[in-house]
Amino acid sequence: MTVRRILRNPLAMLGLVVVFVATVAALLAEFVAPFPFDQVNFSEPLRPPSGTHIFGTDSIGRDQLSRAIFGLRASVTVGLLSVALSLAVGVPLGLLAGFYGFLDPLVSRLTDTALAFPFLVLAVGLAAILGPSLSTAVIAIGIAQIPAVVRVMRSETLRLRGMDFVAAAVAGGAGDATVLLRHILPNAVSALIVQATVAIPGAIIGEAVLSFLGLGVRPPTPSLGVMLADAQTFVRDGPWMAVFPGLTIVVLTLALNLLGDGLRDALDPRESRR
Amino acid sequence: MSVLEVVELVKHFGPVRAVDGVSLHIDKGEVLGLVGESGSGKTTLGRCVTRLVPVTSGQVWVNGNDIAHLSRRRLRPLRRDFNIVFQDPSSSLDPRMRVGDIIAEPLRLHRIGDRSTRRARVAELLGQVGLQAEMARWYPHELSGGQRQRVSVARALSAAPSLLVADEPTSALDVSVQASVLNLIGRLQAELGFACLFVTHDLAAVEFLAQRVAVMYLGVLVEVATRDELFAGPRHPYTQALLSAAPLPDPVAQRSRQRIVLSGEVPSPVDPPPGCRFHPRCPVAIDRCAVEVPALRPVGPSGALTACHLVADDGSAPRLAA
Amino acid sequence: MSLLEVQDLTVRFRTEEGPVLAVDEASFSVATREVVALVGESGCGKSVTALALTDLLPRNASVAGAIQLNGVRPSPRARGRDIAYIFQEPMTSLNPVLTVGRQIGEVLKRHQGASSRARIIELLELVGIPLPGRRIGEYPHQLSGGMRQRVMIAMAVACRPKLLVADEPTTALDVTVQAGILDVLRNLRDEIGTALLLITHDLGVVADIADRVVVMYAGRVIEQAGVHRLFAHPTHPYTRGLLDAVPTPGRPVLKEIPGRVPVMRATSDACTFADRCWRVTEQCRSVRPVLEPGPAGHPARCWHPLGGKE
Repeated sequence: MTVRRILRNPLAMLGLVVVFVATVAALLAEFVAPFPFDQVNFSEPLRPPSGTHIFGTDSIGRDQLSRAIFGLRASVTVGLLSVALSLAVGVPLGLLAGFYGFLDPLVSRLTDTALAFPFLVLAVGLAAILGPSLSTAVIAIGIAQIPAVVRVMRSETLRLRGMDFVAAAVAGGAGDATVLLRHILPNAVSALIVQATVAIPGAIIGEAVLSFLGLGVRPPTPSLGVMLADAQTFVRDGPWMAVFPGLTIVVLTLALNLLGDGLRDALDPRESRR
Repeated sequence: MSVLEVVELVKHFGPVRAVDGVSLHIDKGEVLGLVGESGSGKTTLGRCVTRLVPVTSGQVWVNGNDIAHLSRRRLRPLRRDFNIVFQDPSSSLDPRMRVGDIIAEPLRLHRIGDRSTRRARVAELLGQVGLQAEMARWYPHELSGGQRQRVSVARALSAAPSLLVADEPTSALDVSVQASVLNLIGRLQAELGFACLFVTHDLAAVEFLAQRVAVMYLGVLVEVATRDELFAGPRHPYTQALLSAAPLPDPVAQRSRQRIVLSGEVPSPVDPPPGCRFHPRCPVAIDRCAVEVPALRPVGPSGALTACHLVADDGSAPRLAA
Repeated sequence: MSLLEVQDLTVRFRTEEGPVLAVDEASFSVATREVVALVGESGCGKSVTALALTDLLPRNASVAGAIQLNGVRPSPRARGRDIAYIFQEPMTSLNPVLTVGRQIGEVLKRHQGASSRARIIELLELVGIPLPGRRIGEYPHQLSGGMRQRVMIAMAVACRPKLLVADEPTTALDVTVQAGILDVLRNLRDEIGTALLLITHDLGVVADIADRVVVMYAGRVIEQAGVHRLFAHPTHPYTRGLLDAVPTPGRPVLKEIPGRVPVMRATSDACTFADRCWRVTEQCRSVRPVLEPGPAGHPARCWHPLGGKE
């Protein structure tokens, strides 16, 4: 059912294909990329896009396409890990807040506080403690996304715990653990998947921002954000240095958003049947 | 001995006095129909009896244990003794579980049998409710409404409870499917001998299934009698009005009968009327009805119970239909 | 002459699971001041028929067949004016932020160009709302379910439609409230002469109020008769099954109809009830039965009607 709805939605399919290609390219970057990401070629600095260097080269002659492909690896890693982190923390909190009324005010105030905390201040603080790195980016972005996960999980729990099948489980002798883990959590999975597809592009942009600011991935390791930062100095002489990493980010996040919209429609029949 | 004995049960949701002092009992192998309109508190009573909601005060004795105020931990092992079938089978079955797992859940939770005996029990139950054994592997959305309700019945009966609460089990179903579910509950009840609290607004279904009938209005019982006595000669004015308002599926009979049309609507359970709760709508109310709460007392030779000042001790009652 | 004449109404839906034939060449009529009950279980096409009459079908539906009002094909505007529709759930069909009087007034303005407080009060009185002068300023949430349904009816009859189509108007209500609503509908016919097409599955309601009954099954009209004749001499096995399925005291086991209503994808050359029928023969599975007078004299779509020689 769900799969068929996705297959019938051309925009979602387009998103799926782009995301799939990007992920495979990132995973197999060593084999896909035409050049090693750190291969310097001082004889070809700042070359515009050509047959050999489709995305052009940077100031020290590195192939921009290869760097973008390796950069995707950082994007995908941060996207997946930070969302995994936010789910790991947010789902239990949301479950507990939705199920135990007395915990709700506490958890809700905590998420409100976290939401009020500026993302960049958090990232700068973490970078100061942990040092700028991929893991710092993962942690900073993951923490920033926890409140959204808590909210989704909490509202799903509130909705589901009033359903008769939960009452039926209690009548059958189920304790809280059974109700939460066997009945509420599996039925909240659709909503969580949708939340994740919204969060991943956010995380990818977040990674680019942090790396651009020097708070995430550090050169020479490539990342789309690092490439953009490198491009700053050469905007006039080599605009392709900024254009192509930027386009990559745009295309990837757009594809993820299309896929996420398609998934939301497919998983929620009420939304799609208008 | 009674399987269920409810004593002065009270359930308030904040200011809402949903159930306000109800006492009743059900004997072994008996079906008690609990009839009332929306807002009467009948569903809440069913949920109190199965402790799906906490009880405000009163006692609920199931097989000699008062479960009204037990902690959830102490209550869990006792839940083998009673279970419930809900109104809407599309929301009472977990959409992510297979039918077999749904039916076996009470067995698993009460640690009855091992995996293979439970599987055998599921097959047996599916047969008892008229479904094929291979449906154990199906998901609820692959079943029709009637089949889902059969699964719901099988789950409720899987741990062989001595009390089944059926909360409007046919209201969400089509007419022809209703008949099959009523037949099913009737047949299983005769075969297995469990006591049943049959909560419904459907008078025809009650007349078909129940041996005794309790009528509820605005949180209290107004009349309790055997089925035959109640349908032949309802005593409480509300019961009379209720019976006369339910249309008969027979145009000749329906168009020739005297109907009692009640004025107004059921008042809010937040602020129920003083005295008899039915007095503002009662066509025969007297001054006393507005001040003195009528007790639910035995009237007539059979020991039927009525809560009305106008019903005499010998059971004679005012007739509303002229 | 009949007020409403429906000839070979066919409604198809395009859905994700493929086409659905919801109504299959349904023909019936409603006379002036007549109460006709359209009866069947869910999936029989009765609600879709009602929506087709009032032009309220969703966009994935395609409609064929002829609908005539007073002998002419009604323009969309005439349809909106002469055929009014009452929904099952009164709460969701009223605007929660407007007062009752304002909502009725807007209907009056839209269709008659003017509204007055007196006219609104008159309408509220017509549907049996006590203290109409006070109710006029109240909001829907302040009313009980029965009162809301009465307001819906008042809005529906505000511009004096010739036909009122009511889809399960009392299903969500208690029996004591239902009795009052049925009285209101009866009064409308008697006082302002509105004909009523009542969609319902409740045979008690049918017995109470209908003059004539049209029974639908799987998109087809399978039997129609005057109410007394239909209950006394059901001719189609499905009609008989429906009547027998109602709980009746003194009967140890209720009659069941095995199986379920099929979802029709396309018109079929078989009787749609064949798979559930106890009188089925080869003919039923291969030749589409026609709606023709049966042994009791009224039309039924069955090759082996009840009541004839066995």
